[in-house]
Amino acid sequence: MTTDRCIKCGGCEQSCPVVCIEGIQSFSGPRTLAVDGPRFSAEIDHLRDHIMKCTTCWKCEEVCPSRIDLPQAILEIRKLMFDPLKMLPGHRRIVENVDRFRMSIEPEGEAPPAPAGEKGEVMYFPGCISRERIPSIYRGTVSTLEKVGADFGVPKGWVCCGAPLEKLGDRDRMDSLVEDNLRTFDGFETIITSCPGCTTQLFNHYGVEPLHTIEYLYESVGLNRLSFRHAGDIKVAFHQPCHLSRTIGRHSMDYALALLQEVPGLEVLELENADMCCGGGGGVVAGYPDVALDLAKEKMSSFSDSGADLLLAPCPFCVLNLERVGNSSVKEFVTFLEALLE
Amino acid sequence: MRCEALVIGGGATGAGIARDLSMRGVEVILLERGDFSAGATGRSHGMLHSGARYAVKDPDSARECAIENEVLKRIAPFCIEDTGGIFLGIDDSYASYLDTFMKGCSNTGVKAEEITVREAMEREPLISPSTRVAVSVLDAYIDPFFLTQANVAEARAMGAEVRNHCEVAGMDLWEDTVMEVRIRDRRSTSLNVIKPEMVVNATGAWSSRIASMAGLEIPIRVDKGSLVIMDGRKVNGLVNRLRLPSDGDIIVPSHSSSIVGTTCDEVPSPDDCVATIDEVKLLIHQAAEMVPSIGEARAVRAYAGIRPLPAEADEGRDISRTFKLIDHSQDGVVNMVSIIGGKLTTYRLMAEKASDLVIEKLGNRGKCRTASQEIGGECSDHEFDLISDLQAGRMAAKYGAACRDIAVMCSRTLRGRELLCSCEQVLRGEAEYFAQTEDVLNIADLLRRTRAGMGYCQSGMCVTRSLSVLEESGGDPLPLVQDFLEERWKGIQPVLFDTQLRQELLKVQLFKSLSLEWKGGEGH
Repeated sequence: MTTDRCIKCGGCEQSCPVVCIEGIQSFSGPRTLAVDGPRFSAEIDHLRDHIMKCTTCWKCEEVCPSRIDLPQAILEIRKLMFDPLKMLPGHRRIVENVDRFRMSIEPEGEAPPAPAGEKGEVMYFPGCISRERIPSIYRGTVSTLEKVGADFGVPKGWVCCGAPLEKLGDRDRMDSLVEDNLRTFDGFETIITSCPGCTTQLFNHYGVEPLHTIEYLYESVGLNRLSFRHAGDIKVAFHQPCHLSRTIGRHSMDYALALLQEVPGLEVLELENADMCCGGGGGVVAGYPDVALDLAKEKMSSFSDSGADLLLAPCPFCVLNLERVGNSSVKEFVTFLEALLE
Repeated sequence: MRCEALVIGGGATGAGIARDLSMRGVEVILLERGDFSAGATGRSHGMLHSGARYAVKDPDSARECAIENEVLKRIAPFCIEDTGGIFLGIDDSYASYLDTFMKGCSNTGVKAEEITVREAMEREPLISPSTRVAVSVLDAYIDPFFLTQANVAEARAMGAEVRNHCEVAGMDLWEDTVMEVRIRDRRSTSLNVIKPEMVVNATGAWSSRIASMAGLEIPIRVDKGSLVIMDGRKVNGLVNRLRLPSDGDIIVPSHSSSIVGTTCDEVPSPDDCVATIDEVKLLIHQAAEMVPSIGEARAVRAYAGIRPLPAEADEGRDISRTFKLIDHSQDGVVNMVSIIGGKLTTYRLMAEKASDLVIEKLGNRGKCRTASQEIGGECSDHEFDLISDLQAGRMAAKYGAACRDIAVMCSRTLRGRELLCSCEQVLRGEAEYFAQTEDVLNIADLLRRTRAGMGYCQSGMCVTRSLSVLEESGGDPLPLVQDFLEERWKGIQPVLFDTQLRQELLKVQLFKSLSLEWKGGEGH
């Protein structure tokens, strides 16, 4: 592991959203957890309380002058210290849901109907949240794919991608989900996802190269094949999800802005700290809902200051967590675009 | 000032003698020129030898080590990590050596057992895939600083007068007897005089200098052994190379790092011994043959120890590592003894033999009890409300019986619970505890007692915090920092490449922001 390269500049602590909002007493920060903590071997158990508060936003890796992959190191430690008997209640629920439903969340009501084809050129992997918690994302994405004339399908019998389990350190369960999914992936050429978490997971653990819907629209469909209705002169602000902007790449942010600029009657306002984590990742919503809510409030307060009417976020987890603040102005990015797509 | 026995030298041996004599009711004064364990003791590996390394070429040492290994595990468990050790045969270099080695071990009472390479891999997952043979031995890690401190503390508790930063300036003899020893204490300007019945010279590599004050000569060969500290524990136990003792044969897991050693070269003087960059590269290269990831690890610091070897006809590695006790009556001074050579592992035995001789001369006071009595007594209870179990556990491993008082000091205030050194997870209260004792005059004294500043940033971030602990006792702070950094620099210079170079550059900038002219940084 490259944590050896730490020179204690303190950059990771200063830029860590959890440290900034919760304070160093509550969350000792990336360096302490990933570098200092594990240096005394066999003594990682004391990290347990703090280490599950990392949202894996990857901001620390971005600012680190030695480019140490601190979140990856934290995930490795979570893997080493995973103990089914010491899970937080929220995390236990995730594990139980996976065992019962093969989903990270309990299915609510009727799942939206799958599109006709189950095989095709494009495979759409919806992910748990889009399918069960915010079905508008699922419908919006399906509708988008129909409107752009894609030959697509949803794999029959897909299960949770396993990303939440990786965040908890439960690699055995994660591997079993990966195995299940891979059996359903046959016969598709392109894989697209609604969720940056799924995208990253498929890339890291499935040996495939999936595209987030934004990447698909920009790269595969192309701006010249997309036309949008007039948005009715509204102002939007754009939240940059960590696992999209940092894990998948900065290019996705350029694509998102380019897509928004195609929409007539839409003004994109600057959002302060647009790339700061909303608190939705890393299993923190389930493990420490208060911490996740504090971060979401901070994000919504930046949104209020921006003067925009809507906050767009291209990530189901971000939308879910931001909605917990109780402000109804949060919209999922692709769903929002789909409504204007002709 | 009168005393029955004046012990000169506050390394493990001197401290051990002070403890041993005090236990037998002798009035002892122990003097140390610098700080306890600042000489050869603190510059060792911290290896508690099983004896295997000497089994072939130095059977006497091997026997001594094998016995003392067990004794120390019994009397100083708090500062020993009983990790076990292995010898690795890599490629074909071991082939002709294995049989001799095993025979040597069995002849000298050293427990050694051949294990399968698979077992070795389970114990040490990072060892080289070219490992062909593995032998399991009883090596362990022993912290030389905490061991010495504990001996000092117990000697004191039993009435010994112990002073560090107190130098012997000269001796006055009357005929064949040392009558007075003049001493210079760094805490005062005046010279003091001690009138001892017996003088014990336990100054290691400096013993010929002390002996010369009494008109004596000790033929000694000063041998430099360089070591390099690599960040992170790459090994779970000690890893040795199975071959005739050579350079870079040993990797020792030490706290949060791995120490690689050693080299062996004669030097003219024991003062200002430093490791060179060439030695560092050689050591890393050799150690990486056993544990490849050592080759990519971060070299944090290098240092050189001085072995005071009894000068015989043999060269360097061929000189026995056993010790030599000299009764100077044979050279015409009746009340002085010197003890030289030996190893950290055999410090207690050396102390016992030296003490026996002193007792013989002073008149019998009973037998040595150091082999059975645990140093400082047991320390079983280390649960404290306000500090974490981890912190309490680490304190118990550092301070032994004293950990209770130190933990209380930490718990008492909010400041006491603050982290002073994050590399080594040292709390401010630990430093405060020692700062209030009269032994601590500078930052390095704090470092030796707490490990604050020994981590990978090499005192970059904690130096000002350590200073603030000291400053409360008054005095101009800047020279303290300057001296400390200059001393640290000697150990950093040989590892100024890769990450440690970047670390130093950051420190230079940091110190500038504190208006600190960092002289050691001339090379930057």
